[in-house]
Amino acid sequence: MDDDRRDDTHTADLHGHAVQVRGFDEAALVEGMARTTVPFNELVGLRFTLVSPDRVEATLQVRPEHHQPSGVVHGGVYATLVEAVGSTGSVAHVAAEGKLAMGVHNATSFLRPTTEGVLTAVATPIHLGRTQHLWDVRVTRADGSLTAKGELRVAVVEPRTP
Amino acid sequence: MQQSRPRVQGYDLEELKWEDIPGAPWVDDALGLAFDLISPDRVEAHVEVGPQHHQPYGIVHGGVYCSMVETLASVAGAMRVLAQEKIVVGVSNTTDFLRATREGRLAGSATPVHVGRLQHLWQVEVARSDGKLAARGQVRLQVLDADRL
Repeated sequence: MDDDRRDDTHTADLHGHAVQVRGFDEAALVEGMARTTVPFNELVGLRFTLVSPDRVEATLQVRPEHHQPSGVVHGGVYATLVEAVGSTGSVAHVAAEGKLAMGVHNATSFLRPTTEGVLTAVATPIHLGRTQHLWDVRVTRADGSLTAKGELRVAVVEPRTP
Repeated sequence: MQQSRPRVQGYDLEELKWEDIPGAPWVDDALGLAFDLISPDRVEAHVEVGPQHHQPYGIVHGGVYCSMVETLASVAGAMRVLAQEKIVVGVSNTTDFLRATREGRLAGSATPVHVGRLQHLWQVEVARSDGKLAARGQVRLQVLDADRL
């Protein structure tokens, strides 16, 4: 099983960046996700590293731009990471069906402050329903400790017909 | 903190030294959040939506709403404890996204649900230019001694 999964992993150009993809059809992913870069993710400096059905990963190199006045990472940055990896996981799941996915509820708890280094956000699905998804997202610091933990509810919708 | 000064009601500005509060790049530059009103029971700030705030569908990224909610609640809470030489840190942010926004102004307002000695709970509403609610969030804040910073 592990060997099969490893063999299945390939690199795709998503949002203008090379991302490891596993378990999804690349053409459907590119059609669903790569039509454009994500302006807000670019502004944040977020980089996706893995997109797969049961795990989505992204990293963020912390810079002073991410700080709040006390010199630690602003809570909105963690919430943004949670939002980005969870919703991207949902988009990947529904892209092949021509559906859209968008976050409707973001609950993020802040556990430890971060001043510098690389943050890693990992989303794993709790529930992948027909109309709603629920993702668990953990954000860890470079030392491996948990800095924030979030849950994201995502609505799956049919595109509006013009 | 920002170029234009917000209206301040109910706080003594000299005592609280608004000018000495440092800026925050995430708030000032990435979000472009500008404060309009600082008062004990209501804090208001707005963001002029631009393409930089969008996700791939061309609507505002959920992280923008979360960041507005976090900032408004944190500043509102920080102002309430500043005179006691305390600070607040966010412990959880729960934001619901209600309507999509493409452009225009997002106006946020924070009001207190609970202001305790150790923890605050603030509710934040974010409205679009047409007055309709785009997002609503709640932030829990932990009150700490300023020397913990």
